[in-house]
Amino acid sequence: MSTIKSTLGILCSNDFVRSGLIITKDGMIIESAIENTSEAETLGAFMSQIVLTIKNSLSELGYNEFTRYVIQSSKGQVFLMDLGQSVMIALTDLDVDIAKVNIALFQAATEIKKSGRLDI
Amino acid sequence: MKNNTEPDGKSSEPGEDYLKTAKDLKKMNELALAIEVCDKGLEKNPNDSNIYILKSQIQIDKFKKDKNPDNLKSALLNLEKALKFNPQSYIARILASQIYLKGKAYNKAKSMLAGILKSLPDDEKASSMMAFIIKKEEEKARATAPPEPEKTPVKAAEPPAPSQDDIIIKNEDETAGENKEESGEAMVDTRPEENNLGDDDKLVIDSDSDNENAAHLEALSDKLTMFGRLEGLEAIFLVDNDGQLFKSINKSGLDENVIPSLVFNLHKASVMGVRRVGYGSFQRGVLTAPIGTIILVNVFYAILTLVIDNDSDLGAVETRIQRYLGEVMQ
Repeated sequence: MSTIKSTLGILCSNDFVRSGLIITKDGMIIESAIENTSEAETLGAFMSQIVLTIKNSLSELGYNEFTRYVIQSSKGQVFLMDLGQSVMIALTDLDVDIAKVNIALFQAATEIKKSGRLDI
Repeated sequence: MKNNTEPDGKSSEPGEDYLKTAKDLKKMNELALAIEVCDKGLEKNPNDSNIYILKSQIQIDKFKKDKNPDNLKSALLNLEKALKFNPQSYIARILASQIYLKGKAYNKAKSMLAGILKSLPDDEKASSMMAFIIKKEEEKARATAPPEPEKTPVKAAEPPAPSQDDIIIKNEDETAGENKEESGEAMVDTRPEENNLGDDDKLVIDSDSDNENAAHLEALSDKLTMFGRLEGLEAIFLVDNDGQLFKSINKSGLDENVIPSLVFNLHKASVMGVRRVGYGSFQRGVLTAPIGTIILVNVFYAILTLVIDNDSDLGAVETRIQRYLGEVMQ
């Protein structure tokens, strides 16, 4: 778990990423860099609904996984990265360099995959 | 209806042509003709869930006119067929729930609504109907329970109470209905659930929601040609507020049953998600998946969806989207 924690820490120390967390597909928090627990739980619950919606529809098209989903809202952006059994979520401000965020996210995802703690 | 071109090169009529004609006829109240058009559309496109849904809406309109419960039975059959091809269709599940509810088939309605609430837990229509069922079940339990006034029945977990403005099952005479229920007359019905269709005269099934914004959708649809030469473009879908496909330009023959539902459900979940976590209002969604990059854009009365190749230049796509939005907002 410490690898996941430190990877998430590195991701959030990036200038572009405001906060992040990793959840199971059903919304349980695996690791969070959000201090307020209830805020993290709410975010995890709602993002897991989005992941469920994506996975249900993709499975009808014959696919099991997606790469990422980015929501742009009036206050910022939410990045969801599919890690197989889990999902990494990163919150950013509005005007960020998407390419740099993507690189940071892919690096974090690769680190977590390497740690072998995906099948939680 | 994956592709409008037959393998032998002959072009078939796309399902959306039939849809448009049938919708126009429905609007003009030419219901028999509208059903005929749907049937012809289904002959050519037998797997098109959108036509099945429209046909069921026309049959619901017929039921409203002639009160013949056979129309509701047929509507339900068509919705079941639509759900076979497109299990995630929101509008098909909502309409089927409403018909089950009207037929007092509460268990079937409940399971259909549970399916919607599983992926869209904040959905107001589904929540209000679920609350309605729970209320009816409580009334039924009270009516059939032995007279022990001290005992309070154990309450099931209740979804948020519906607001009067949002409730979709409109009870035209709530008080009279309650009195009827309390006498046990309405709820003690031993017939199989399917045979009760059309029994509850107080419930109105909403089958007209697609008509209001047709002109706006036409205007949005007219400008879609702006994306015609966009590099890497696989498909464009204009999906209305009910999750039904209004217009498509489907170059890659993508599934026109599943993708509009994916778009509608994802849009709805995203709108709710960002709102509930205090992240403002939803503006854009970009899903990168094996079928391509799916871009969801909020436009008036609809969701514009572009499916592009995963290697496409997103900057160029964004520029084109901004131009489109500039045009339609004029």
